[in-house]
Amino acid sequence: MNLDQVTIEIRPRSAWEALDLGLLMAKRWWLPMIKIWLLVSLPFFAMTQLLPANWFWGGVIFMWWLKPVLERPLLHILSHAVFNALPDTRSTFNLFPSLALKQIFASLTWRRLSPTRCMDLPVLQLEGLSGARRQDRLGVLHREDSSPAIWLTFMGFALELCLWVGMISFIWAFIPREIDIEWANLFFDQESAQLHRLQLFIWYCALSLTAPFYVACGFALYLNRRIKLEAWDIDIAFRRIANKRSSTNLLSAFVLVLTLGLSVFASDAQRNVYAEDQLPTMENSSAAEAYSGEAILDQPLGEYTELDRHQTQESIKAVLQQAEFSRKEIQRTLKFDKPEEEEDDEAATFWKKLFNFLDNFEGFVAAASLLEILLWVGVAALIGFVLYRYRHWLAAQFVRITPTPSPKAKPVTLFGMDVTRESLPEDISGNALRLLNTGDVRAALALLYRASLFHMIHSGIEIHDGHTEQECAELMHQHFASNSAAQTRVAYFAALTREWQRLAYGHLLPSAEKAQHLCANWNACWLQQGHSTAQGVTQ
Amino acid sequence: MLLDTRQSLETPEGALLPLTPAGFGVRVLAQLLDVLIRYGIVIVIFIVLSLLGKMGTGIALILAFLLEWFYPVYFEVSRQGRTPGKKWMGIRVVNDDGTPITFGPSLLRNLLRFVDFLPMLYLTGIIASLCNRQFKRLGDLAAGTMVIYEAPPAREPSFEVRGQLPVPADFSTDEQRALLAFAERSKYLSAERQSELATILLPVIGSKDPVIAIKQMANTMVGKQ
Repeated sequence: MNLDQVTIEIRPRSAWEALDLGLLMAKRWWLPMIKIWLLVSLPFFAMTQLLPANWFWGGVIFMWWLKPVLERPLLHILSHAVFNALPDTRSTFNLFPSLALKQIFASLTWRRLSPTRCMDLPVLQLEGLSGARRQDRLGVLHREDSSPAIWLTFMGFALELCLWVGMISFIWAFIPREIDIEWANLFFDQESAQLHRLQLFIWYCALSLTAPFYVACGFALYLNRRIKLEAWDIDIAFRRIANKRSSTNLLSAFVLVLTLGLSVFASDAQRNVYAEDQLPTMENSSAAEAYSGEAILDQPLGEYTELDRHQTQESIKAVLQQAEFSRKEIQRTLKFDKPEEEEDDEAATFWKKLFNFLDNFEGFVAAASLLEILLWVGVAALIGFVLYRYRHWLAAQFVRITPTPSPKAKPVTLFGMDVTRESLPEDISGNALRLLNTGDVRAALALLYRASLFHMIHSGIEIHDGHTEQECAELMHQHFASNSAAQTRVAYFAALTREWQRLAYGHLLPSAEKAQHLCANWNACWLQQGHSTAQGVTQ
Repeated sequence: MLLDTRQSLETPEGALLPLTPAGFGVRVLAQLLDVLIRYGIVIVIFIVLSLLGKMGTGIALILAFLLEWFYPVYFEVSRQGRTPGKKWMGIRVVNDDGTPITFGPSLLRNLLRFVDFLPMLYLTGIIASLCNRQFKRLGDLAAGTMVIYEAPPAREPSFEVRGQLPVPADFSTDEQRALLAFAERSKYLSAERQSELATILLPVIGSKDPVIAIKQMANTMVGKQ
């Protein structure tokens, strides 16, 4: 095997991609493969044609069953073509008997239905392995990437059937409608011998069409696996590196006198010489001799060295028994002397007896019903407790309560003046008049004004610190706009506000008559006319 | 020319964009999964809607029709060319120039699915896909699309060797890449095969243990200690 001469790109591929490479290989060497296939298989097909007509299915199965043997020369062609040594049809045909007879019995009996047949054939044919060695080798090859081989076998079979049905249908489609032939009868008619011969021929065509692809895909899978296992691409690259360096060393003397083009040519020549000297090449002419010896594919790369199975097992065991691979632990636990089963039995009979006894004891029934009631009470209590415990949460979840607006706290002071109940005397008018008589007009009016504000607040007028005196009067007016009985109070408050503003800000004393009037009338205006206001005061 | 599944598209900038068209094997499996998903949904729809009597059956038929024709279109357009089956198999649909598929091409390739299916089980599509290098079925040819493998996600390299060693200065990019590939894949190679490969480079590297030397060079390249 000469890796310098390969005609396929050597690199590790995924298994499915390798299968695609097989398709390309089958296309490339389609002609030599189909030639040898026809040469080899036509005699067997002729034999099936000689069979009596009612042996039709026998012929179909016979052709299909022989496929593993008929595929071998195809693999022979491919395995050489990949290394640029395409054998001619004649030499391959001459080789066919020796190729076909290799382990023919196993291939046609228990291995016939193996789904990985396409991937396994190169091991038998190219590596020449048999028996246990073959099994070991397959084990290595199948460790990865063998599932596409299985799928390929099933797909190939489906494809053969499809081609068979498809081609028959194709012919049927060209038959004129006047000749009444039912499509289904083409497949299930048992009578016509001619039809059977045609069917058999088409079956043979279907097998011929698929066989090169099947073999090539299987070979590509095998090849890819070996490329991965033995790193063929790295081998090629490393050899190239080494060759380039060695040839440039040899040539260094000539570099001075030779042109660049010539040196390139010379290095190519050197490489070729090296390749022929160093690497074992595959002999095109005597492929037969190559086969009689060791496997072709195996010569330079990774000699298959056989290991003695028992010896290996022994050494593995010895290694595993070393201290690094094992750890001894002693665990001590206490255990009853009695066997466990007996104990179980005793326990069971004890419970049985207990229940029998309790069933018959009347007092126990009463106790039980009491217990039941207690249990239910307990359950109810538990539910009640839970409901109570989470009542807020529950209320928030299920009951949407619009929060009642909490009554706004009545202001305690307004404009820096105390407007609480406690700060006001019982008899406003009397006190005001007394203050007026002592000459303290300001205190008298302040008392009147405070008392008025207090009553306004408690009759529902919302007054806060930001309001001016005028605004308070305005609010008063609005609040009692519909209440005619309170109009005197509104007028009183307006007059009081005016006088109070003049006094507080303008320091203008009201006339004695006016002050007297305001003081004397307060009680009459605020207490007698509005019953509700009176209530508000007493509250 | 070497036979390869990978094909490079050249961008206007002169960069090579490697794409790997997917053949029928992996696509058949992806389609199988999609069919299973689709028919699972259809069965559920029919069971549920048959409770509504004749009108339910009518609605179910319309839904089944929409699912049959627009299930792949929907996923290809909205999931960057991946139906669930394709995603599972690690493939996706792209335009011929490698750009994400859009509504028009997706609709066309899925409407022509019907032609590729003939006479049964996508026989036409399979034969058509074997007749061109991008494994395109008729729908792909008409719509200008192809199905490619997704690049597997890159893993953080670990070479199980400490220390760094300078890479020889005259190593080209490809040659450095080979060293890196050796270090990355050495865990899948037997020790014998590793030393066998590394010994090829012995005259160039000139180290006592070429396996470790190459891995240390790889450490240098990826910036590991």
